Amino acid sequence: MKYWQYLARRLGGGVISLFGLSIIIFIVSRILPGNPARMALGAMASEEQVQELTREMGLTQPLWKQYLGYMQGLLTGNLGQSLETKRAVTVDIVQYLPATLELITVSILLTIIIGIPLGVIAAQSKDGWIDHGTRLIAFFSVSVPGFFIGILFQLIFGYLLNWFPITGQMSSRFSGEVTHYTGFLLIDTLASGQLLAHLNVWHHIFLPALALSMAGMGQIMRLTRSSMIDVKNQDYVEAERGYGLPDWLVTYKYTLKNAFIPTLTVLGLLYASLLGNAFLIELVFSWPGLARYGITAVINNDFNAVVGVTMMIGVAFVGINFLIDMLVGRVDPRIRLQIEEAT
Amino acid sequence: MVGTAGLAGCSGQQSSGGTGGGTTEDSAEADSNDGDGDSSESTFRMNAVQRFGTIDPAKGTDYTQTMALLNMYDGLVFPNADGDLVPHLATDWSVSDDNLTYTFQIREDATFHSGNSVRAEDVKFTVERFFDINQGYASLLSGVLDKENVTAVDEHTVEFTLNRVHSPFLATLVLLFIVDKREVLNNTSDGEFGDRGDYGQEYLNNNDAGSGAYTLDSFERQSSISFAKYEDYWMGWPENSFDNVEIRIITEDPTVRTLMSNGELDMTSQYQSTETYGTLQDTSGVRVEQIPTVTVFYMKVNNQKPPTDDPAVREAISYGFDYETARTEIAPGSMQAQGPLATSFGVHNENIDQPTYDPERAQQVLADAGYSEGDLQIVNTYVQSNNMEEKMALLFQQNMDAIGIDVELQPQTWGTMTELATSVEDTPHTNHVFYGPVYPSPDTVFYNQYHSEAAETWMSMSHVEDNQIDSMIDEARATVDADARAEIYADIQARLTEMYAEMFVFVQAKQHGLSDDVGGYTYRPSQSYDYWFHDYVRE
Amino acid sequence: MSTSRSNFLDQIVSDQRRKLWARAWKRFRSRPMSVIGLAIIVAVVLAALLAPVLAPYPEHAGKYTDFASALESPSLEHPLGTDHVGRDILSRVLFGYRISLMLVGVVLGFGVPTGVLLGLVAGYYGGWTETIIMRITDTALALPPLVMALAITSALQPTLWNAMLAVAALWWTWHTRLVQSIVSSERNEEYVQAAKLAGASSPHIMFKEILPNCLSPILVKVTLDAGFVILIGAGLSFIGVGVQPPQPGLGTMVSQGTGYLPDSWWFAIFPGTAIFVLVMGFNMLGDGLRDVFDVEVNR
Repeated sequence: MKYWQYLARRLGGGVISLFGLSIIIFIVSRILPGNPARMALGAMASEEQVQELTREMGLTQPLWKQYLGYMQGLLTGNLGQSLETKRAVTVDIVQYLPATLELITVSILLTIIIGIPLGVIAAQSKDGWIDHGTRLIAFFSVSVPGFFIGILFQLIFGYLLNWFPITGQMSSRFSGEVTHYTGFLLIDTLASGQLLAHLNVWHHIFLPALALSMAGMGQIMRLTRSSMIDVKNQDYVEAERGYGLPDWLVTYKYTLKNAFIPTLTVLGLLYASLLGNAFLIELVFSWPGLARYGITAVINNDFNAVVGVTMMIGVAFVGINFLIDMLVGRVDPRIRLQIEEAT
Repeated sequence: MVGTAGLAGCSGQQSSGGTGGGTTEDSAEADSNDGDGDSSESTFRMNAVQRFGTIDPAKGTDYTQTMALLNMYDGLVFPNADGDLVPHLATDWSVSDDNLTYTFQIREDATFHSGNSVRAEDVKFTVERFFDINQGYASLLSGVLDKENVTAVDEHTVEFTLNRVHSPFLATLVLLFIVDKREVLNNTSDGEFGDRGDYGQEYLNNNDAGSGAYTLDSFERQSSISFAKYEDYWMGWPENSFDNVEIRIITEDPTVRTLMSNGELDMTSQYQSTETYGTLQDTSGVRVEQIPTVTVFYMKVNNQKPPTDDPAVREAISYGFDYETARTEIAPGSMQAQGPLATSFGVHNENIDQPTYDPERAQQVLADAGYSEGDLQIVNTYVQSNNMEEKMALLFQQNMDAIGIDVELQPQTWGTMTELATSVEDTPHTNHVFYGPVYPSPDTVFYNQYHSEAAETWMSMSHVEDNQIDSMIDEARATVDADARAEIYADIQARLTEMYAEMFVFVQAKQHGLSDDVGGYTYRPSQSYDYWFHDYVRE
Repeated sequence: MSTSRSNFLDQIVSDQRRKLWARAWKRFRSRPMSVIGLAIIVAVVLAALLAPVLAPYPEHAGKYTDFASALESPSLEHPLGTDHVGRDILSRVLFGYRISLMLVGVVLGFGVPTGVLLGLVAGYYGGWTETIIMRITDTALALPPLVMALAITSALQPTLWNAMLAVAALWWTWHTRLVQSIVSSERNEEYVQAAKLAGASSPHIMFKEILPNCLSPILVKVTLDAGFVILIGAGLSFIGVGVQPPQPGLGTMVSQGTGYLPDSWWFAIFPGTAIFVLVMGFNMLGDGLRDVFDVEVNR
């Protein structure tokens, strides 16, 4: 099958998935208990007021009509108004999403910086005590509940040692000095020329990002290790050694690069799954991201917001999966199988 | 003391763990007018556990909304620490002999934040807006006052003519926050109110049009609100008052503790866990104040739903509960409730027979009524994230188990609870509710909770629906003579207790953590009126 | 004649299988991690089963309050301390394990058979059947489990059971994918063709011939799944979609415990560690199984 045919097929699949997702989310939002109109108006509202708002919100229309309206809104980027914040859901999401994305990105960085070298070392000392040691660490990191490690970090590095702050994105004393260009604090602080604030943001983001990176780190470690071992045993590596190339060059330039491909794809999948996992870490560290917004929305039956957040994450998921398919299909179809077996 | 309000119901989203809509310790979005950056300006920082749904004076009802409104706006009258009404925007008032017409003199030196002076016309406009939008507390005066009967007699005199005698009328005026007519009409968007457009709802969603002590500085619905001192406030300012006030929504106890101890917070909300207050007491630079209120914690029993529709069952429940443990362990500092009205009210009936913890009596009552163990199953609902209520629920479950009643606990969100309250069938058998008067009069305690007309809100989850009670409340409203009224109030309390309409658990002593250098806190028995930041000073 | 011949073949096949399993067990035994994992699981299961006997205060897992003993630090009387209501945490953790294991049972008990069945059908029949089933599977796979579970539970009563049912409703997808990919390659193998020629019915082929070849990867996946299910359950409880009080859900305990950090740290730490130990046990076990079976496959 040609590359573009493969792509088209995956794209079609993705679209169908999104469609199915929209239907499920729509149904869910309509069975949410409670009358959202009443929620929006508050406890003192009169019956007529509630009826009126219910009608205004279109909730009295037949279900299929509501769905059409909903799809129309989705496609034009109109997710309705949050009953809580009384603002467009899209505006809310745009405000809170960068914090979550920042957290996830730094988390992946940490996963790479720590996980890959450890995997390489483990591969080199295969079956040695370093290998077993890293394997144990990998087990730990994959088994520990995300929120729990977050709490542990807070206890040890925050309360006990006082090395890191335990909540928030940045100390409030800087908030007047930073202009929000992008919403990504790490970028904005630099753009505003506030070096101290920039360092302060790193100080805040480190613990939550580390906690979030735990789960993926074990996987990456192991995957790097096994890929390295596989590749190392290949003929061309032997040949390179035979040519007298120094060991470290062989390791890093040739072996690692090829071993990297499945790792890369797993990283992509990881990015997607972190979107879901970031929720718990955000709660523990009071991170002002999408998680808190989403959970508050669910708790308050703010169905526009629930729909908005869920659709967003679903779209991100599907989008990233598609991107991976694009990369993978390009590189080597066999890799797909390897990925599926490894995860 | 004519005790009055405390805080109304909604115990908000106090968290006992990693849940709730908390915000960051140091939020990047809170555009706080950071007092620390500029040391000549002082900032007062407090946390709240519930977001500010709206700051529109025609719509605000709960404790955070009222807190915001009474700082940005003024009412005609103001409740003092005893619950009496003193002049505020109105310097003086008189009541006609038939008790139907109230005439107020508006002070001439008051100005809105826009610079416009406060006139009788603004008062009239406020009432019209209140009734036309018809949300918030508009229902309090429906049927009592028609907007046409509010007249601006001259620039600074306004007259209210009621449809019938309504003794709590003056008290309800603490909730009528006067808006700047010219400012609002300059900022209307398209809406359903003809040439008044949307009545400025969109504008007032994010701005203030008041004359109050503080102006709105920034507003981030989910996370914070901040106010700046209005220098030209007609009352003037005490020395060392605060230039800025910042209220942040923080629900996590550990965060609040940390912030108080490192000085980044000056005052905690009243909804922290008892353990937090304990820790704060031992923290240097911080004190914890215990403030008796007139808010009562009720276990509202659904009078219309079997099996709690049987008075015997309700009696058993009332005698089967360990009030003392509840008070001493779960809500330390609180006082035993006696009937529906807080004990510090002047009209409190000392002679009611308040049930005590007597499991034998409870079991006897059930046996006499023909119930055996395991026959009775009821549901108990409370706010999911509320630490205290969870403990109370577990205690309740254990106590009821001992007398043979099986209790199923169903924690809910506050939103769902208010939803369940709207129908008799949906309202669970027992519910945890705090209620305190929203205006300084016992009328609010009775009318909102027990009158059939006020049915279907979280305040009336006991669905009492008793004709006698209804007519007694109506009579009290029509009675102008204070003593006669007091007698009726006494009868209402007695009857509610005899019916075992609800469980009256304790009168709340609320706790606040405060920085040692903050003074001026004054408790007033009307919802959120102790959070008038004009009082507060840096010592 | 065909019957005795197929009997003979069956005999050889089952002999081979038995030997395979014997070798697998020997290999498994030689890896310390796998054995530790197995030991942990066995220990936890026993602890959960024997909870009423092992727990020092079994009634604390039910309707019990003792506020005077609230938040006591670990001591001889209460090895893991007490919670905010005065209940013994050790006892509650033991009973909490019951709930965790039950959840695993429910989710996997529903998800795995459904997924395997769908995968078998899709892989074997191919064509439109396969396309439809796999499209639906892919759609379901596109949904982030935690978020979906949250959204669905908010529509129903926010109890842990409902949440896990929502998770179970999505769980089958992984197994469908796994089994379908194996089956669709196996269906072209010789032994399947042979069985078809011998006149075996489709169900027979699917279940008796092909399925056994899928068992090892399924087994590995189930073991790893168990750990994952527990993490998701704990996550949901932590957010607030937990078991109904006074039941001792481990995730709920951690969630409540966070409100008492750092002073009463034991309230959050011990239940959290309990979750961690159980999940790690499953992961170790699963990893060991994977190594063992993979070696067999590569041979």
